[in-house]
Amino acid sequence: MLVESAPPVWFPTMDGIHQESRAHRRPCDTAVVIDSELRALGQRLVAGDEGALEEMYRRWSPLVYSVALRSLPSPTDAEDVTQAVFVSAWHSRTSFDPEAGNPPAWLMGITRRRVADFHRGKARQPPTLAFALENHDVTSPDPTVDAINELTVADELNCLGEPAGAIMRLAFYSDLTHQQISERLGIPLGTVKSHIRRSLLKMRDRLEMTHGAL
Amino acid sequence: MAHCDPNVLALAALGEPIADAAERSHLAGCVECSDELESLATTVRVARTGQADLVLPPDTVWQGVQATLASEPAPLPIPLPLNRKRSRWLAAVSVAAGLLVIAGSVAIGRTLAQGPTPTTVAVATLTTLPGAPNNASGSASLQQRGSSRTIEVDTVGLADPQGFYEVWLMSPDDSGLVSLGTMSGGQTRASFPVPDGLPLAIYSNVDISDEPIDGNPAHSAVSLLRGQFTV
Repeated sequence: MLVESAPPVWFPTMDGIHQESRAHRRPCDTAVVIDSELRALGQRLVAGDEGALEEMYRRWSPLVYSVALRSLPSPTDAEDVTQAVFVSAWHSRTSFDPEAGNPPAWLMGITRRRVADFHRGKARQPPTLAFALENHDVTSPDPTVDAINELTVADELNCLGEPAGAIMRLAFYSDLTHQQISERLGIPLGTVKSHIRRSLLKMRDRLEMTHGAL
Repeated sequence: MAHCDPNVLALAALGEPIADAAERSHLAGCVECSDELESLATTVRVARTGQADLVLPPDTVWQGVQATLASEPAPLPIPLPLNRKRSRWLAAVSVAAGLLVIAGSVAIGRTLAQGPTPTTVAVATLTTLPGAPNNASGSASLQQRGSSRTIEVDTVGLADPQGFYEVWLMSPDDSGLVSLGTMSGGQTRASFPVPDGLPLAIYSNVDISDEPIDGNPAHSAVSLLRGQFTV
């Protein structure tokens, strides 16, 4: 099958344009398009429907909280930041664009900023030499971004449904080939292959959208 | 040959060998297919590194969100055609939340501004446009205090206007423009109320223009600093 795509832009930073252009350049894949259910949820939030915030909390507070747990010193800090993320999401809801934005990606952007606020708050205290050295290395990778990546993929994996979820877990964590997965689950080879392709594309696109929102 | 079979690339990203020699040699020379493979392989690496479990936050976190929002005035009206019904939970928790707030909920007070304290809900870094002084810069922050919104503007290096500087909110595509007010040469800080109901999702850019004293209320088209609000 011919793939009519330009080279994908991998993990664009601070540039939402790439998500859009990608959607146009990859007509064969539908995963990049904001699905109608997420768009409706975003529209309700922007319009001031508190039920939409509640639904976002129900769906993505584990993602926000898990990222916060990985990025902050204590569970209490993670709880405070998680609360602040959803309060911020409500206050800044008019800045969300339901047509182009992905709600969990947007929440990850807010989470990263609230985590940074937390660390800056600590930094306002008289810095120790060790702290100053640690925080002046601008080239050091941001551990919050690693946590966001890994937990975003975990969240998408949970959303795949079955049998896609089971297939991907066997492929990722049990290192089974698609043939072995087909035998293990009694699912035709072609079905396994297409589940693997579609699921990987969904995860890849979700990661890219998240990076566009950080 | 045609590009690689997408199924084959997905399996290759997981580490399975590519059986077909023609596909292997195509992949070696095709930027599109190798980029596609690389992006999928990166996704696989992230998945395998993480193998992370998501953790549910304790119920007190959502209760804290509800209590904080319930202690604030009603949501701002947003000019969109929809059925704005009073929320179920906002109404339901307001009494309980009031009690919580009166009792002095330490967790909430510690992290979130309430009541009369303004909260910064968005910030914009203002950068120079052609024609601006080289050393000019600025920032804007959107403050929310209850239901009223204020934009605070700080500037550096703007000291020599034709007449005065004017601060505007504009849509990124220039289709809409709202004047917030003026600043004098050398004035480095000003605060402007945001008209109720003005959708900042649309008017998300802050613009500072150089205006002559000519009695013409329109934008002079000489913009010096501009930036977009982000959360």
